[in-house]
Amino acid sequence: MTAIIDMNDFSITYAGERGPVPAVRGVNLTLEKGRILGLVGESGSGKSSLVSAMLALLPKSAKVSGRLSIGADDLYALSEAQRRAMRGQRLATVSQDPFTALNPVIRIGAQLVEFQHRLKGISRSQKLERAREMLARVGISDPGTRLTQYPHQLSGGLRQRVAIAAALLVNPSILIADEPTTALDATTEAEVIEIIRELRGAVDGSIVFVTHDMGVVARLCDDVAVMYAGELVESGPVAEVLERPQHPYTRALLACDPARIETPSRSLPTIPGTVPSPHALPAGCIFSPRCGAVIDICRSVRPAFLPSDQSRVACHRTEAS
Amino acid sequence: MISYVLRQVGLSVGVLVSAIIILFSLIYLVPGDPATIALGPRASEQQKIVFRQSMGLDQPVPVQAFHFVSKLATGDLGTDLLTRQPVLRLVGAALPKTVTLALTGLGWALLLGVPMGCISAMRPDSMTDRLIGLVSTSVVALPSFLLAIYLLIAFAVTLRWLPAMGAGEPGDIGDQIQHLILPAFAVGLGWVGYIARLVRASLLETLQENHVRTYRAFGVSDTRIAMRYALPIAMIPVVAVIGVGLGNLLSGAVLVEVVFSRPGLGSLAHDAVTTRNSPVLVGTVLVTTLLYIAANLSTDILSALLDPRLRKEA
Repeated sequence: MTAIIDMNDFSITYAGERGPVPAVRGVNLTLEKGRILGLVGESGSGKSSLVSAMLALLPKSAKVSGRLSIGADDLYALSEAQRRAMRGQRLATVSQDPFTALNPVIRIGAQLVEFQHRLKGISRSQKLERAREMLARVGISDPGTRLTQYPHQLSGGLRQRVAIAAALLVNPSILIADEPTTALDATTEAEVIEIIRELRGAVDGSIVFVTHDMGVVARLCDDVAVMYAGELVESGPVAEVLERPQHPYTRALLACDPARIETPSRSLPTIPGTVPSPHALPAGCIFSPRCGAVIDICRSVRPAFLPSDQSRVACHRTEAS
Repeated sequence: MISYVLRQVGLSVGVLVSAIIILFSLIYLVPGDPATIALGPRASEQQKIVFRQSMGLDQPVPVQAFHFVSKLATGDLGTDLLTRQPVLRLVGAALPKTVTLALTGLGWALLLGVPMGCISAMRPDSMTDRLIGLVSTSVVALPSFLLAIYLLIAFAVTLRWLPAMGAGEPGDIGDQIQHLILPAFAVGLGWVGYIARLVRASLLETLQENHVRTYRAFGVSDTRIAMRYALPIAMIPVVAVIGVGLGNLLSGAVLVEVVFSRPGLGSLAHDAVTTRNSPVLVGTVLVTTLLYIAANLSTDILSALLDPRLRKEA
């Protein structure tokens, strides 16, 4: 087993106007080669920051600590130039919004050629041919015509397929899909997920799939990591975490998934309270103010992220049992 | 693209017809007797009657309107009251000089303003950006005719580096260029700052867009992203604003022409006003309107070339 992503006590802090904002704190996460990781969390859970960190795309105001390794390289021990050299070669991404991810005034073909700029020794027409083949592989009909079109002439689903094709063109060792289906309607979402499932063999590495939809995780992913308010609260194999969730937040999240509710009710279940602001984090466990199973120690001591069965969980209750 | 261009040309023709109607109405809505204004208060009644007959002012208004439009349609803009030359010839001689001045002014403003805006946007809030911002806002506030007067005093009168008056000997390109330098500088300087600020703001906004992040995620260099992929988008609103501002640029050119005694539409209109030479004035106003419409039409077409999304609506 070779770890393709390895994070050790990894934190991201932004310089904010009201002082430093600790957006991601002490994340320990490993992703092995060939697996699909579902990164789950609400808005503001820090998953987008973590994705930017994996892509070496953090803004200048961000400071990182701890270690984030891509393969054998400690990403944040490298120079900025070395990090940039990894983008578009070992790292590729499919962004959240297919409607704005492509340049509106450049033809699809020219954009797909530009994305292959790291590939040396092949001509422009060969790159265009590779692009045409890749569009066909992601299920786009008449790929030759698509190459001559502008993004606004394509539907959202088609544009997201183009974005997936773009990411696959560079043969990345890590493909990061940042909520690639959130902006799409349900039918198109299902199609896009099906394409990623079919093409997972084409990625000579691993896929990180960011989502807030547990149903997508169940259909697509091998592993799952659950984030809450900037911390990783539970991670493990999908079957294990979804069947036997150990962290109260994971359980609450699963209970809120409409697809898992067996008896129909008038209102959807919600988790009481709100995500704490990074300016006013609670002492002890980050989830303690909203947790139904809170005990005294939760309010004073931060739980360690410890192995439990096949998963890892940050909860005093599992530690105690 | 062709249908888009045809539609824009059609719209322009509509604007031109409306402009002619408004121009005609203005001439006849202005209070006062044209004959008295043209001949002066000491003219005899007999002279005024002869004048009205020769100008067709004794005809009913609809007939006058018909004559006005039908003469326009054949390219007849009337005759100069003083020299008896056809107005069309006068305007035709003045037009290229004014267009040259305005385009040279805009051209060098673009050549300097666009790179300044790009440098600013690539390093926002750096010392360079602040310096460019300071220079830009300073020159924006400077009216071109005032600048023209100072340039004239400094470089033509005191230093005697460049000629002060006229447009240069006909046929002598070198001399004409020498005569163009100071007026074009005066016309363009304010625009350098204006364009630099516009490009900076527009490029900064474009660089925030999601597709820029996509290109960064694929490891494309920041300079290449800015110049090849963001600048063409950032220029779309800049081109639109410049198109609207061309009227402003023309009036700046007209004033600068008067200061430098340069032949052109400005001098023509200025002389026509001071000598109450109404056919020449009407001719220059009409041609200026035409110029303005042509400028807006080229702006629309240029915008469509930059932005494929505009071409979609047929």
